Amino acid sequence: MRAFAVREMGVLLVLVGLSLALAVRALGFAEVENLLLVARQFSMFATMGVGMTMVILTGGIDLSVGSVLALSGCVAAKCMLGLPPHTDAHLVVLAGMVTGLATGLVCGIVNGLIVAKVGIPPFIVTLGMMSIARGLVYVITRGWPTEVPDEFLFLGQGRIWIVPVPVVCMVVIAGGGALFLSRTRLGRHIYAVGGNDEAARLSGIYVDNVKLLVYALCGVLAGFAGITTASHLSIAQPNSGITNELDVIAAVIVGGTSLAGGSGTVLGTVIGAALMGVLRNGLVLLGVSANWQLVPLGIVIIAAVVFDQLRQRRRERAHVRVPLDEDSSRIRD
Amino acid sequence: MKRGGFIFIVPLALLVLTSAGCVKEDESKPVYALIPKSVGHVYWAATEKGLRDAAAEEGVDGLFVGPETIDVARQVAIMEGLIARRVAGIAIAPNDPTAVVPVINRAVESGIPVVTLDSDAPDSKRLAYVGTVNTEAGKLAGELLAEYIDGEGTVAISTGGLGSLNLNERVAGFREAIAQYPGIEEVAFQTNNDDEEQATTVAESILSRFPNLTAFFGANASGGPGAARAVRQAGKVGQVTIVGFDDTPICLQFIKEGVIEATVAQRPREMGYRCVKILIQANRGLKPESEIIDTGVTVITADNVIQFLGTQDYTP
Repeated sequence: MRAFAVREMGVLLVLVGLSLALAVRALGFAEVENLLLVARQFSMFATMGVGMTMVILTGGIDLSVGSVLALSGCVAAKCMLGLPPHTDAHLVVLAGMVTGLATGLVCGIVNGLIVAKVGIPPFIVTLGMMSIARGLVYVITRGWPTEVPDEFLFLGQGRIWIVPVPVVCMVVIAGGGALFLSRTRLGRHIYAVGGNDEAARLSGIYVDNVKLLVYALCGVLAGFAGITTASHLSIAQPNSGITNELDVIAAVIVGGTSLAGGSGTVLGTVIGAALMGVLRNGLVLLGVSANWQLVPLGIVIIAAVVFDQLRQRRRERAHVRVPLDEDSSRIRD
Repeated sequence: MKRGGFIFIVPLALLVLTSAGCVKEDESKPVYALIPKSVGHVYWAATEKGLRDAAAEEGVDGLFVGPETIDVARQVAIMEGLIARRVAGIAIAPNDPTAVVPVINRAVESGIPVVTLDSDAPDSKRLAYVGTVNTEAGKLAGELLAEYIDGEGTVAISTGGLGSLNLNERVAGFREAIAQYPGIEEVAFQTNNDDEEQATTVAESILSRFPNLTAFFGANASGGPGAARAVRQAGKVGQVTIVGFDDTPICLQFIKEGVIEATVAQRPREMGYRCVKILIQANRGLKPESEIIDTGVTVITADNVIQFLGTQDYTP
């Protein structure tokens, strides 16, 4: 838990402060139902953020997640629609899951292979993939939306007890991602690659494979977000997810992950996504007109990062030398 | 990595060579281009259908080309490319009424007829505007909604791109209509950025704030279905009245299920179709009958939705 206290406290404080202020000022904010809806709204960004965190930890970036989201959703919907009528419900769901996730995986692997094996900067590779995946969606759908069969709606619209299914999925995926990063050797390797590529190589880490893995994971999670979004809307839209990559990257950065790589946590990303979700919700609840909303959103992104930086700097001044410990998140501290 | 380069250059070269073969344009036929606000939305796919139908009838080529997002600079760049290619005519749905004026004028001056569709650029030298008269359509939506809620209650508006002239006209018309009813109060004005997921999110937030909301007005195609999902989710079907715009399949489905009360359906296929016809006429030296060509709207409710399901502009 010490890692938590160190890294995410800044942005968590901002989130708690903002939520308390909204609970007092904004009618309807502190209702259970509203909070559950907010959680569902940001769960998509947090889920994709798990993969994005790992990519950014290696010093990379993935700009293709928004397009991969749309491609995966449409491919899955097309496949399910292509099944013969009266196909067993489980088979429909399985087909949707497999094709959607596989689409994301393929995009991620292509990104990873070109970044790791050819050595092209990830910004360029994933920018290209962003265009290719979006283009493929338009080729496949010609701009028309595709219906999602009723059997598949549970993933996006269902609830377990009162909790929306996408929120449950987010908790599981983020929990798994956090454990993977902090408790497994491979997870540590991801930090090491971002900390110092060459040093990691010299110490015997297969840097290329680590990079391939993070892009593949990021792709799969974008695919997952794609089928979840399609399921939530009951329809797969070719234009869904446009500019989502920026929302996801913002959540990761606000959550305290360094764009330079090597430091950051999944928990921070989830808090970052929550902060943005709460803010978007709060602005509507406060009755802020649409024309005014983007300004405070941008200010909070910058303010959260500034606040976090100031806290860290103060800490660093207080403890001139931070002792090295087991916590992976502190490798670069 | 030097040797590895070939692995990429060879397929890349092949790709470029073969993709040239993919372009199905017949050099001999004149090309009529339609530039939507953005590609990838069903509404624009319907205008493309109109373009293709008219092109097939007239034996010309239809070219559907537009920006990936609602971006006026990309539209201008696309149009410059079309002028350089010397296409026979251009129909454009401007993302901004003034930014496209110079490039429209340049096209017209170089002998290429231009019409606007869906959203106008009145200060340009375009031949005509083909589409909905949005202030009127917004007013119609406002009157419908006021009638449904008996002229009393709170209303939230969910619109698309804040810079689009047609949506702003629609909202203005809507506000003008509800202003006639002192009992109606507008409590929220939010954007969904023409994205259904955002439309749902925004509507959910509005319902959290105003649990006793009387009605939603969706000014664009995403607004109505987004509100419908939020209302159904909150278990308030029947309690919150929704009036939307356009008859996308999902919107019709919600009308059939009784979640959306009514939608003001524009005729995008008709817009694309008429544009091509007018441009061809112009090249034969004939002027359009008027500068504003109203393609009209249809009000769709639970009473007549059956006729429109699956048979409308929105089936590929």
